[in-house]
Amino acid sequence: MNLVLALTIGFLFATGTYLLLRRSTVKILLGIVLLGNATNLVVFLCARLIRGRPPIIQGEDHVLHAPYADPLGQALILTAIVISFGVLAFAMILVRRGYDIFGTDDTDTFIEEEQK
Amino acid sequence: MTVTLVVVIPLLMAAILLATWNFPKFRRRMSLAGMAVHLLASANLLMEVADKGVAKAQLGSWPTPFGIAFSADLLSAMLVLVASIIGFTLSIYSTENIDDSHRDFGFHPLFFVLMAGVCGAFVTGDLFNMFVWFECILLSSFVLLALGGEKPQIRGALNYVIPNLFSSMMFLCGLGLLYGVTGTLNMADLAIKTSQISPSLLTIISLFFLTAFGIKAAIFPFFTWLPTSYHTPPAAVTALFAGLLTKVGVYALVRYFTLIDPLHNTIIQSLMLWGAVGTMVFGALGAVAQRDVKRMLAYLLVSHIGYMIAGLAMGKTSSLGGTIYYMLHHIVVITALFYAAGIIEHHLGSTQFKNIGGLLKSRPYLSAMFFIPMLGLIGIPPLSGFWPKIVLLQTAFSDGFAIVGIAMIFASLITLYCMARIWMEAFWKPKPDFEAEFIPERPMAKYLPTGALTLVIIFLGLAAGPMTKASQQAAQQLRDAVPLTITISEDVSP
Repeated sequence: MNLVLALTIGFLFATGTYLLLRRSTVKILLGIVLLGNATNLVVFLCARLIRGRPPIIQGEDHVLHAPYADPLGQALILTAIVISFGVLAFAMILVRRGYDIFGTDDTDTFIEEEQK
Repeated sequence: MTVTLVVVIPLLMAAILLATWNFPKFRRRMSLAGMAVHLLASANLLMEVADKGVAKAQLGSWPTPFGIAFSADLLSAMLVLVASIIGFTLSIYSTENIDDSHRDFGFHPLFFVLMAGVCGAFVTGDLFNMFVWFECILLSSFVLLALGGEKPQIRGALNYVIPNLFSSMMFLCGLGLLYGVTGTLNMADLAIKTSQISPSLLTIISLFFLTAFGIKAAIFPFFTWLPTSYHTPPAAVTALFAGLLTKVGVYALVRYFTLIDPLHNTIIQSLMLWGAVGTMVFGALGAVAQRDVKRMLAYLLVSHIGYMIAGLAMGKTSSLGGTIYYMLHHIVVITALFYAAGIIEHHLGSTQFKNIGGLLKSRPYLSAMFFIPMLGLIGIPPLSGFWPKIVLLQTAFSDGFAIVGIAMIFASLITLYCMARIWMEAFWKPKPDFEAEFIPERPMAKYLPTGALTLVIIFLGLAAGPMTKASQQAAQQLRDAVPLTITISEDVSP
């Protein structure tokens, strides 16, 4: 499972970086989405994958026993997802607005337009 | 408690200002009053920290390494105070500079969210919490930058948004890896635990943080987003960004590379040194090519970030002290210069060299208010730029970082050239022939804060002795990391 996730992360990073380097703002935005997902998976994987051991203190014990699923990692991802949701919503409107006033999503045209 | 106040006040203000959306006049006054209270709270925090050492707070009363910790040492407290001074002057300046459309779209609440983010990033003792404050800053700055929605703003906003989003992802990646390796995100706890993990692993993690914070701080080779976006919004917004946002990045670098990875590692150190040299040299060269006051200032801002990074990268306590003094000085000076540029724009309707001139005769007070920060930025004694530069240069030449020292001198000379250029174009040169519509009225709301910051600059320069002492003390605190780490081992419950 670790290997599958690691490969997925690598694939997402590669495609995300490729899209980020494109000239079209829409593709850059998609690149950001992919990179964001890759990052969340990194946090997910780093918090360790442990199945079937919820972090619940059993009966008389006062401490958790060693292999248990770490809830903090997932809490971090949840925070990151919520934040990136807001940021992406803004970025999408920005790209849309850019398309409306420049009539294109090509960043090179933006530069030409400004130099005029 | 005093630590949380500096974050809670702006957040509360943002909420109040959102609720009073329909009362613009009330909001302007509230905004001023809110910043005044914040200024008092930050002054109080600094006094407490200077008096009793590190001020701490645990949110939700969790025992130390678990909950979110706020802890302000001398560096944090000084930066919060300076940020608050900037915020206070800005709440006056913005009454004139921010036009109605900006006000309608919520300049004031966003400004307070930004202040909360900046102060939160300065005082937090938890690395993930710092990420959250960074996002807080980012979101509000995105909107502030894009307000207006004309072609330059949209292009500037795109240039700003995409690198900063990428930087957030690098930050989060680094956080994930660091958490995976150490199992904690509390900075003081991290300081203990990272010393036990393998150096090569730490290097990889630190590279993520160097990239993330490097983009925020606009260091070479990540600085190109800054000069292409900072000149587009109104002067008040630019001044706020120029003064505070990059410095949050520098602060994060300082905090991370003293506490969590204290630069024992040669790869990271040399990367940072070359980054600093590149920032100084290319920032300065970029400035030479500009024909616009705001753009030139933006490049000079980048160039001077290099000094701070160099002080950190040289890794001596004295140079770190220089970095801290330089940060405090630079926040005030660059904000004052952007304020003055805003006034030039008000009077002449433009900041491009071909459209401006003749201000020395027609606006002598403005000239003085530009002249003093200008000398401060160049580093003419006795103004504030000179003293930290001397400390940094001394370290550079006595500890074998001659290239850094040469880059510093080079960047200073170019700064001198650029500032002289602005001075000649805007002030000495007679007014351009075609009569640009000159708006003669003096907006007091703009002159007052600029004058106040000019006085702060003079004060920072004249108080060189105490300031140097305080910044060296802050550097020593960082270097020892004792205050933070001791607290942690005391408080850890079994």
